[in-house]
Amino acid sequence: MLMPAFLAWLHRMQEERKVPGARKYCTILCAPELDRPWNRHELEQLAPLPVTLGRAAGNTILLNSRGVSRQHAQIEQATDGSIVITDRNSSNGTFLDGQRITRAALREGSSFQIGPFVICVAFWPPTQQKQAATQLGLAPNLGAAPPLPAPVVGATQGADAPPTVNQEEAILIFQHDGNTLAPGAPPSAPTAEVFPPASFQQPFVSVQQLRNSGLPITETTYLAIGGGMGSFAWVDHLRVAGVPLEQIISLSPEPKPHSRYSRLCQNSQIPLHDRIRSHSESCPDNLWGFPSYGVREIFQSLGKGQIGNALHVAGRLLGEPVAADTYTPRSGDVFASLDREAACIGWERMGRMGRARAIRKTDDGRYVVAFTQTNVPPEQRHQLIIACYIHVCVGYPGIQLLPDLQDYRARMQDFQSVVNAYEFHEHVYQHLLQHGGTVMMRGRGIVASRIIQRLYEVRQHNPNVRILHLMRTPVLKGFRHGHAQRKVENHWEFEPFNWPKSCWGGTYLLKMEQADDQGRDQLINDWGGTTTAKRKDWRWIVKTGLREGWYQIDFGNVKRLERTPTGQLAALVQGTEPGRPENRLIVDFVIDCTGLEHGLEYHALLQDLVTHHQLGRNPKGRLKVSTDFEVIGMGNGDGHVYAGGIMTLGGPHAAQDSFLGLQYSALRSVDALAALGAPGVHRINGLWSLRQWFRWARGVHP
Amino acid sequence: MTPTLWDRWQTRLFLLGTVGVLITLCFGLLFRTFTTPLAVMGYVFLFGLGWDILYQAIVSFRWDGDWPSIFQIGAGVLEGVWIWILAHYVGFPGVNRSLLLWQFIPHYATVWLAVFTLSQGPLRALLPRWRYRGGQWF
Repeated sequence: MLMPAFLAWLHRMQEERKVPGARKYCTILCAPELDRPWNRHELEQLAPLPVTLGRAAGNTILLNSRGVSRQHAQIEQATDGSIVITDRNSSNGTFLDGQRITRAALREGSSFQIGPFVICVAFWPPTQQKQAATQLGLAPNLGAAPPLPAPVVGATQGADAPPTVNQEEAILIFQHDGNTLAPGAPPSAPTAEVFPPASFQQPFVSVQQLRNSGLPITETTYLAIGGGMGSFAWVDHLRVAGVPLEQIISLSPEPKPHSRYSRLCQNSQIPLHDRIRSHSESCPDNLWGFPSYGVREIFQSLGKGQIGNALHVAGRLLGEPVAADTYTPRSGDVFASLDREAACIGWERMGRMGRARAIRKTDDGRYVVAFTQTNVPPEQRHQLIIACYIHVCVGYPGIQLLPDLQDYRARMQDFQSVVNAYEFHEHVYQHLLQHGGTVMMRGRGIVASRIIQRLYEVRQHNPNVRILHLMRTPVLKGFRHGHAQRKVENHWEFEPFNWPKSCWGGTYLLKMEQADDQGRDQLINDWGGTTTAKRKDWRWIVKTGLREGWYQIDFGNVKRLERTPTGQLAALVQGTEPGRPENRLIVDFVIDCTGLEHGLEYHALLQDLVTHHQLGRNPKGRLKVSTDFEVIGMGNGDGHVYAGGIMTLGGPHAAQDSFLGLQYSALRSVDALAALGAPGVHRINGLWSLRQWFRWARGVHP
Repeated sequence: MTPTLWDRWQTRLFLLGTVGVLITLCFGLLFRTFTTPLAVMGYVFLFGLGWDILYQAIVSFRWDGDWPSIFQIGAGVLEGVWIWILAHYVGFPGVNRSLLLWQFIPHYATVWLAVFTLSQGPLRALLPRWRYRGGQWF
């Protein structure tokens, strides 16, 4: 939804530029403060003054969140020529540089917060702004308003910087083999190549024609595309529902369901002995979540005679999150449990190593998938699979770097000093271990906590390691939803998991399911945001670092990053506090901890799917699915296509980027298959469920 | 747990009506009377319907919309003390006021522990959708 708005405004901006100075403008870069990927598409709007902001229709800038009042604030030009923002008696207030305001002047680079949105103000062209600022100072004596800058662009841009770097360009796409990253623009549609065959251009593909094409064809009943954790959850549910493995194929670029996940964990400093941010009862190897990882750890510890750890875990399970930190499982234990379950359900026997290229409806009410198999000789790589039921769960297409960092890497071809936390970047810690140095961190989510923890460990061996944490804005109060509010400490916002817990079951899940598109969009804005887990060790590291001075927090936007003659990095930072001069910060490394990217258009298969079949998108621009997670518009006779995971965000379930979320969508779609009478599918309930649970407990295949 | 009010009522009815009654009957055999233990369970259920409204109001102030285990434990103690005080000092129809504390505590604690343990996981083997629906059965 944001992109069309963005394009409309961009067009308007270009139109307005043709008559410079004709009107007074304010511009804002409406950047949801949330560093969460689904809100990374910053929304630029250019608007003539006055500009109104609020939740109700009719406002210049519509902010869809319950944290925003219907008529929340207004930006206008004061009689002295300055631009001011006025709060319109909103319930939750307007915050400028962390302070609640009723009326305040705005400057270039000012950023204010309304509900979950951080809105930055910028002017264009910048040189005019500087001039205008000077003239503003003289304005009262002149008795007339000085000419103001006309159009405006994004706040992250500096006065001398070129026009806004498009967020969309700042992407590192996962390579098709899933192991590496490649900088670049969205991949082109697969139709540019000889494969898939020409018949894939038609609305329905003739099965007879495919058979005549000479390409190898495999027929199956169920096909999972993706091969990651979401595909595993779906296949696991199918197997538990009674489907024999001979009827299932799983297409995957990687050998194990957790291959990519475990690599991202290790890169972002979660070694096998460390704990992931996932609930004890979110068990991707066990759809019942019983026994939970916590209970398993208690028994394993008792078996090894580790009474202390068993008591510690029990204490956490009973006390969380009020009297103890929330229990989360060790990543190594989760992967081991997945390997056990994969062996049990015959995952390897169902797997085909490769990448799906295109999905088409066939003329006999099924689907054909063109795929490239990677573990066969080149002449055998192009193949087809015909299936009746398909599940698509491809995960995040790539990693996103902040635009200024991407800009630096593109200019300097330096992939060592500026890294994303999800990339392999062990060299940073090895360098710091030997030589010390200063690291600039960006982002304040869970990954940032991990990185700080690792830097702290390095610092134990080399006290010359310093951390400069650059945040966009201060956060003094946690976000509110209804009566509830998140806790904040040292500008870090806390929450046990990345969504409120009842998004996975209970009140919020029901609310989400029952909401319409706009309501879901609003709820996601309200519940989302950048948070980290409230862990004692991380909080202690931050407090100690602040007290001892080796960890510092600063606020501002990086206008440009350069390399100094000594080989260090110089960041030109525009502070967000009014009147604060630009600051030049010298650091040795920059680690971007802001997250993964999940724009659908960055995944060639999905982009082709929505384009070819003219599918609708949900408010977050992802696949539009029903409450059963069926892709709307893809039904074909007896055939059905389901989807799960982050590519359905904006649909009926908020927490699709989690183990339990993937299991929920898998259960819903397998329930739908059972209701349809799909071959071999029992409804997993009651005695059938109990029987399958006992088989799981005995380690017998379902 | 991330319950809804309906869930609380349904879970309370289902678990007290099955496991709770079974355990109570065992204690009835032990105490040689069924009326008082069964009546005590009935009042735990009835007052519980009201307590659940209060608990749900507390949940609305929690960001996660959840009901942590420690709250479950606290609520168990609170409800037990409430029932004991009323039964012992005020009196309920069907409950003998000479009910002894050493009889009440093991009975109430066993029922509570069974209900708590079942709700922590084993039930999901039978009803895998229970946790997603905020605990609703029907």
